[in-house]
Amino acid sequence: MEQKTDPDNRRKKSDKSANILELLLALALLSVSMYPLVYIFRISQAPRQKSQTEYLATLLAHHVIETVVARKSADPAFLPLMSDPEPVVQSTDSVAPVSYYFRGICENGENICENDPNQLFWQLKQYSCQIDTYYLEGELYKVIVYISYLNEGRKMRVFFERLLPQTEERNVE
Amino acid sequence: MKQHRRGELSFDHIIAIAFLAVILATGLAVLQFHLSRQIEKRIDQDVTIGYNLVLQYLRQDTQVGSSFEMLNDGVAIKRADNTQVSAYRTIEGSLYRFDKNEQKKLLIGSLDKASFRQHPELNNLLLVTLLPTDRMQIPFFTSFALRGDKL
Repeated sequence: MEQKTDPDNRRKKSDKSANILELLLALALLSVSMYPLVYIFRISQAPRQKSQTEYLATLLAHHVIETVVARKSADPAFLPLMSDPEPVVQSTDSVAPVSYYFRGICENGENICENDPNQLFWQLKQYSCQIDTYYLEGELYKVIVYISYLNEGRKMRVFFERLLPQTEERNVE
Repeated sequence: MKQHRRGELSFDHIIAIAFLAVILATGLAVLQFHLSRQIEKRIDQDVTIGYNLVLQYLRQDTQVGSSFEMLNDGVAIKRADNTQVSAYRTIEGSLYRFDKNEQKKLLIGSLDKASFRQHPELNNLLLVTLLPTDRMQIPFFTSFALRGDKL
């Protein structure tokens, strides 16, 4: 059976269709405009620690910087030396020497090793510590501590830096 | 007159579906954003909240402290005139900070072990190790140099 529609009904239907399309268009535009807002909100947030691995690396870098500060305070002539990436724990599968700043810090006065009573070995095994130093103008000495680790196969680094006086004066904060 | 075949969409319908897809995709993006914030919230609720408090207070106290005294259950940080800056004590698996008026504040609630030690070579460096009860969480290991003598 052939369906017949008169021109008025067709126009009304067309108007109704156009209205729904306009409504959908407005909703689509509104929803798309939300994404930049979400993005702006996200980048305006303070950077957060990406993972607990990164958090522990930050603690280790803090340990090295504080050790440098304490050693400089005890011996004002002390200036840290440059070093290649070195492990922070004593491992049987590595002959590389433990980083200077992690030697003898276990409770028994040894390096942190597999039978460490605090069971830090496996948590710290993945990290290595590197020190870079620069002589600067104004008799300043810059120390950069890098703690590196692997994250999903990619090498990641956390670094802290500090200025020290080359003369026997107070540390520069 | 051109006739639509059965099942064929008109241009209006295609546009409407495209708009709906855009709305749906944006809704999913917003939902993903919301879920990612929930995960961050969950991570924030782990031991790193307590660790941040320990870092904050110990850094603050060692700025003015010039010596520390080892206690049976923790450590006390003292000024050059031997007055106490603060003390950190482990009581029933929880770490508390006691200020100079002995007002206590809970820093971490579930610790298996808390160790405060002097560096073997440096008597102005405090080594702090905290092991959470949940061994899936990271331990806390760092140091704090006493700076009170410099002020």
